[in-house]
Amino acid sequence: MEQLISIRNMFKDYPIGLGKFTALKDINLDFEAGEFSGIVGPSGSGKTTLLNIIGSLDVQSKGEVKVMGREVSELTRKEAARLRSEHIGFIFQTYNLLPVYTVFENVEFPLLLMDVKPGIRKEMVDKAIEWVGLKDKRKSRPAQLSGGECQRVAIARAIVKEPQIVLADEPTANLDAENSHHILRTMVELNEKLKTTFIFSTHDAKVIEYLRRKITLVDGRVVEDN
Amino acid sequence: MLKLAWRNIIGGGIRTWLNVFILSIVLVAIIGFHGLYIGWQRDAETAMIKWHIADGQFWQQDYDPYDAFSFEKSRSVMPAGIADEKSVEFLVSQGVIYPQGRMQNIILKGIEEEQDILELPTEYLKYEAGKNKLMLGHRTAKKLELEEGDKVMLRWRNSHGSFDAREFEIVHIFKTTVLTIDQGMVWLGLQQMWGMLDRQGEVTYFSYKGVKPVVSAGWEHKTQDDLLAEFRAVFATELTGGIFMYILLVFLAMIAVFDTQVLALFKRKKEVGMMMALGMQRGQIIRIFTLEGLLSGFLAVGLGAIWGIPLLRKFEETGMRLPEMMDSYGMDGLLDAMYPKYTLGLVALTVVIIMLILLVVSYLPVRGISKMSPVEALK
Repeated sequence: MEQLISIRNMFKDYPIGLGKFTALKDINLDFEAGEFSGIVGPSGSGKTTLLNIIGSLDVQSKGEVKVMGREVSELTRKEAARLRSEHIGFIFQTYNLLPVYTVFENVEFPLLLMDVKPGIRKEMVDKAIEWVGLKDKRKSRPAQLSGGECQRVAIARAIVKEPQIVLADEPTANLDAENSHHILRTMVELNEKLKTTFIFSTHDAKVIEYLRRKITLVDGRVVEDN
Repeated sequence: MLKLAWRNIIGGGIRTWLNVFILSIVLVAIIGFHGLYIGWQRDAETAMIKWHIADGQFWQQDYDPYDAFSFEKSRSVMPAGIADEKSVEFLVSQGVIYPQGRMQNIILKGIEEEQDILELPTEYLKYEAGKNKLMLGHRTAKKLELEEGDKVMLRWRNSHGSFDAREFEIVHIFKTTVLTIDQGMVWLGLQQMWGMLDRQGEVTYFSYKGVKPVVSAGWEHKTQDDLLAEFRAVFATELTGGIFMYILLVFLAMIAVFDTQVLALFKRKKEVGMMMALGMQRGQIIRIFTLEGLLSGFLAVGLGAIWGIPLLRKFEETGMRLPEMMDSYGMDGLLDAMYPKYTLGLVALTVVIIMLILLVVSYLPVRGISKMSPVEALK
């Protein structure tokens, strides 16, 4: 299997007053194409920090993090933005949809950044909306949707460009059980259909039961990986 | 990028439209106020040309309108070769007027009675033997408390140095915006003046129409620009006050946009973070928010055009009524009303200035926020 992410002896420190707080300690992980894995652990264990570094939104303090063969800490802001734009999709706990855009426009957004031609763009957006089952809501705005529907729009936005990696930070935290299962089933289907690597950060038992690989973080350390 | 900015601005709803509306008010107000100044200047200069200057003047070389002592020595016979229908002659002298027994120094101006170059109603001064006719502007008439039909005593000094006096009838009081032919002077027929001063055929200056005539030495040519220079200098001082208003309005527009941008960016910080997470680059974020500011400017131009054009057109027709006291303000061009003029240059310049300001005030706040790390922005 193709290796997409490689993390070696990675530490992440945050300055606190004159001292520092180490959020991630000596992390060593590899992720391969098509994985459906999750970083689990209690609040404050460093799950989101790890996800942010993998997504090149943040950089490690020490060690090596290679995403798609590129060392994250060596990327310029522009290069990191390009990496995210071309290869990584994000799903956030609070959906982070653009409130003034319709479902179609929200899903279209990443493709506009990639300068995809209008005809192809429309085709790709329609396909992504269909994947998440929101065909009849394409003209609705986020305010007119339920929490589950909003998260499905966020999934469509993350996968519309068919990235190699989708990072989902607590994607079911704001959803009820039924919607959570629906979302997770959608993501499993997309993982199987598109061979996209999904990496979750979660402490939700509902999500954990869907994961094929579970990485447990406690106090910034990987204590279990199976 | 334009598409995204357009979506954002239209999606902004009431916030966008309030901003656009305020901007359109500022835009129309700036054009409206400045148009008044342009109209004032244009009307004043046109009136000065029509009533007094024509296409230019020739002054006897010793003539100084601000030095009454120069009047006696600044008279010559009209240069030869100038067609009568192409020129209007003036003879200037010092005198004293006695309205209701009071004594008042006055400038006596003799003007060719039969002329159709200037709008001064000289036909009232047509020479009639045995009749002493006089006309004056409404400001001087008001000051001297004289009315049409009144009789008033004039005293002057003739070319031999002797004083002479006669009673004149006020045959006409004219209303003009041109102060230089009204304040402190009375008008007589040129033929009458020649007789009074015993200066047959002599003039102090003359206005001409058409091509500048070739004139012998001893006469100084004054172009329209020379003759309007003094008014323009005084007007420039007045304009400084107008520019203050201009700056104030522009400042208001700036505050409105800057405030909205800062507030919007503060509210949309997470949105910026999400844009970064989706791969938007710093430059793209700056461009999209700056474009939003500029687009609101374009919308303001559109909205301003919808309600501003009919309003300004109406204003152009009706003008701004002036209070009676403006008569004594001491500036040419002010009478009953001021009529604004809106030139394409004024509109274009105002739009460009507003757009430049929008560019700056849209760019400045977003520059700071785009420097944040995506993680910070997403919090």
